[in-house]
Amino acid sequence: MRREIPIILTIVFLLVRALFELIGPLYDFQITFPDGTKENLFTSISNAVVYMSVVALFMGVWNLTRNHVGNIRRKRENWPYSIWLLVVLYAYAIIGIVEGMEGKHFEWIYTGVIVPLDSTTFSLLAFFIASAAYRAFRVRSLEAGLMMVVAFIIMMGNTSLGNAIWSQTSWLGGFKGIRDWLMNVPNGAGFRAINLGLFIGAYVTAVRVALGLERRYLGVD
Amino acid sequence: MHVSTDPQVWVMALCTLAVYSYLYKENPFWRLAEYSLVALYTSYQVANLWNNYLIPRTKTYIIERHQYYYIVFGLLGLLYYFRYLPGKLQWLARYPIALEVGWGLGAVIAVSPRSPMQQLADSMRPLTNVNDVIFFLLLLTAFMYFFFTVGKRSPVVSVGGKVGRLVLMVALGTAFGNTIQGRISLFLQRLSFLLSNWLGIPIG
Repeated sequence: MRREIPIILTIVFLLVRALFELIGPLYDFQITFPDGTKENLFTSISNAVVYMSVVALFMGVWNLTRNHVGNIRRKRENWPYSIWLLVVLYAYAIIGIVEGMEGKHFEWIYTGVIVPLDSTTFSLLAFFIASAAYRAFRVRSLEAGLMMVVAFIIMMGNTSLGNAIWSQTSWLGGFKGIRDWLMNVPNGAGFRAINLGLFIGAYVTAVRVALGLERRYLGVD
Repeated sequence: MHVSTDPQVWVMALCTLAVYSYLYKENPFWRLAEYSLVALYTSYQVANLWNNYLIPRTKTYIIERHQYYYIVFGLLGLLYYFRYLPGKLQWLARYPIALEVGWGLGAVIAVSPRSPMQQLADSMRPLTNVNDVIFFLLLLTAFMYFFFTVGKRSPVVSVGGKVGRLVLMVALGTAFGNTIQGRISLFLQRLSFLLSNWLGIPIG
């Protein structure tokens, strides 16, 4: 009951989806609803599964609340920030639900706070990548050196500075010519191998789930 | 130089400075920005799903079209919340998880081979120029790097794997270079905002 039915449910829905994906393009399984509208059966089930996931929209809020209420109760390190987090979390969610996505206050906060915080946090990585590059050079291995040289050529090939130093019209097409070759030949070969490896791994996992051998997605008792 | 008088621009500038203050060291402004971002993003997603999916779909499918099986899926979705409930009913959350995993992996099994097979077919192209030959050889060596079962027992795979590792480093180097550039361009955008939009210093 606790494990067997979910596993059977997984296998049944997996087979139904696979069947629909394979024979769906050949046959149009139309169903008619009580109001007279017609819809493809596969689309209808897909929409219902999405609807099921959407109902879980408050899981993130709940999880954050649990963790941060715990921080506040036990007065863990930085607990005053947890109070701030909970206030912002509920206030903005309520504004969004009451006003809608085009609400004046909701949009003001999105543009004024979320956008700068998000893009600035991502741009911080520029500085940390620089320190990572320094550490990689310290390793002094052939692989690390090769990676950094390639990264340098790619950056030079993408910028006008690179073109000014080694012009596109000169030998080997300059930085841009080498960048294009690196992107098309070794980069293409390397990422193709990585992608195929990823595919095999994901496919084997899917087959294991289909056979009921992989059960970790259900958690442990 | 005309410093902006728009309160929103000031808030944006202060948020930007709060995040960059982390470059000096951890401090309360950075912490405030960090916690705010986590909370705001979560709330944004809640508002987005509520306004763009849950309410419109409930109205359209259940109220207008009377597709009552949506109620069953909605109730199944509610079982997700049992994951965090105290007591012995947490296992009920497995039902929606199982359904969603099954539905997703059905697509993986049926559709996902398409793209890798196309890539494999493309790799077996006629070797008509030097670049095609180099590409093919590099692809083989990159594959050999992942042959863990044969590994060092075969000298061909062993040497090929070593070359393959270099190929993978070149591929990762291109990704690294492009990522650095993306981040630097984000940094320049923020800098441009601070100087131009906030402080009113003409640049460019």
